[in-house]
Amino acid sequence: MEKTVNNNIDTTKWVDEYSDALFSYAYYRVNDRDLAMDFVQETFFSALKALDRFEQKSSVKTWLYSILKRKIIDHWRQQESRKTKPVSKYVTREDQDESWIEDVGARNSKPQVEEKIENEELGSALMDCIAGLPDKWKGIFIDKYIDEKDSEEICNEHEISSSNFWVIIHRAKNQLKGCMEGSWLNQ
Amino acid sequence: MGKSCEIAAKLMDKSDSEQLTLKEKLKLKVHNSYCKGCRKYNEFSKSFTDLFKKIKDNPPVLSTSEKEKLKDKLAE
Repeated sequence: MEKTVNNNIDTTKWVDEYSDALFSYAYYRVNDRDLAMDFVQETFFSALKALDRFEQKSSVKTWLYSILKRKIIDHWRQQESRKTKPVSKYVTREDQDESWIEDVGARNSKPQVEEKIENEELGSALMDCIAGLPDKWKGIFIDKYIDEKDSEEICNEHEISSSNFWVIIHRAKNQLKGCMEGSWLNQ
Repeated sequence: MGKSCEIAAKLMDKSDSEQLTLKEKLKLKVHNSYCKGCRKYNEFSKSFTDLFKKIKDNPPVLSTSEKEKLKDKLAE
C-alpha cells in the first residue's frame, strides 16, 4: 500500500490503527474469522479506491466503519436472497402483534444458566447462537449489546419504531437463551 | 401473560443498557415482587448482560501475522 497523501491521510498506518476494531466489528456480525478478515481487507481496498472522494466530514475511522457496515449488510442481503424459505424479516407480523411476551418466564426455570455463566466457553457458545439469529435481529442486537449504541440511535439507523425495537430485543434474547440451553448446556 | 408482565419485560430489557427512571424502577420492583416468572427473566437478563461485558473485555483481534499478510495484500 503506497503512502497516498490525499488531504494528508496516511493510508500506510490504516492496518495498525484500524484493522483490530474493524475486524472485531465484522467478526461479531458474521461469526467467521476468515470472512471477517476478508471484509476488513475489502473495506481497505474500497476506501483506497474512493479516497479521492473522501471529504473528511467524518473521521477516517467512521468512514471505514460505514464502508464495512455496507459490505456486511450486502452480505446479509445476499444470504437472505439465497434462502428458499427466509427465516428472517426485518419486522415480521409477529413482531407487531401484542402477543410477543407470552412466555417471558416460562422457559427460564433452569438454574444451569446462572451456574454456568462464568464458564469461558460460554462466550463462544453465545457467539454461535448469535450467528443463528435472523440477520436483521443480529444487527440490532449487536448494536445494542456489543456496540452499546442507544436505542434511539439504533431505531433511526434500522428504521424501526421503538416498540418494534424492544420486541426484537426481547425475542432475540429468548431465542438465544433457548439456543444456549439446547445446544450448549445440554452437552 | 398479562400486560403488566409485558411492561416489566420491556423495562428489564431496557435496563440492560439504559438507566431506568425512578418511576420505572419502582414499577418493576413492585411487579417482580409478586411475579416469579419475571423475577426469573430478570436473573437471566442480568447474567446475559454480564456475559456480554466479558465478551467485550476480550474482543477478537487480528494476529501480527494476519496484519502483516493484510499489509502485503494492500501493498500489491
